[in-house]
Amino acid sequence: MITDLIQEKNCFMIDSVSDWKEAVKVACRPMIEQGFCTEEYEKAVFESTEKFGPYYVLCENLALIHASLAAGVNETQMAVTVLKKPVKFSPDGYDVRVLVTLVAKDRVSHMEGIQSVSNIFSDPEKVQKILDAPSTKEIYDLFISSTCENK
Amino acid sequence: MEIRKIMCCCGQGLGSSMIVGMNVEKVLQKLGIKGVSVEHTAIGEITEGSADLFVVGKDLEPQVTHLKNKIILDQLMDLNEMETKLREKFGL
Repeated sequence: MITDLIQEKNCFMIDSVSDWKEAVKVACRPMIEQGFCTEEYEKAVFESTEKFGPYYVLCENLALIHASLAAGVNETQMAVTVLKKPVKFSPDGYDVRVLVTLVAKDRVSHMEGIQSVSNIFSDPEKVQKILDAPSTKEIYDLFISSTCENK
Repeated sequence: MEIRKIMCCCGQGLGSSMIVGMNVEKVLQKLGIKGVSVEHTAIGEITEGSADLFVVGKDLEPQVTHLKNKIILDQLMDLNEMETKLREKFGL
């Protein structure tokens, strides 16, 4: 169930972050605090970014921050942080305002959450809704309602 | 060669490859193509012959030079690009 994957308390709105490293830390913090992953996971995100570049910046406005299955994962879970001011993960990269944190214990258990991400970010109206969300409730509702649509 | 299995790949095999796989399924459905299985995995786990067609993002192009039948995506989330490139592979 999508409601097992994303919780309203793990949808956040913040003004800005100083750089991409702070973005990763902000995105991972609630997952670590609640025990869905350990600090190893955040470390793995940084290590992978050093190695491969920001592979999780998938399009304008979206960073799907995640590492691999192996490092420090306890349970599959996602979090969403919307930034008022964009951050860049590389000098010539996209402006990013939505940080979706993904902690996955296998290759399929996060399917419904990714469906939402895919359905939202392929629809400019939905992206705008997230960017303009007046509160975290709207962000949460949009993720929950976007999972099963195939358009 | 007939395409029966499509493998979508990214660095970790969790995020973008799953999205790309969903987009492949959406486009196949739109084009009325049936009987094709779509899977996703990490780039390090693929071998030539494990699927009939591989789909990867541009950033991983240097890692798939050994694969014959592949689609390289400039924009991971772009359904139009996906449709154009899948049409070409399916001869539509």
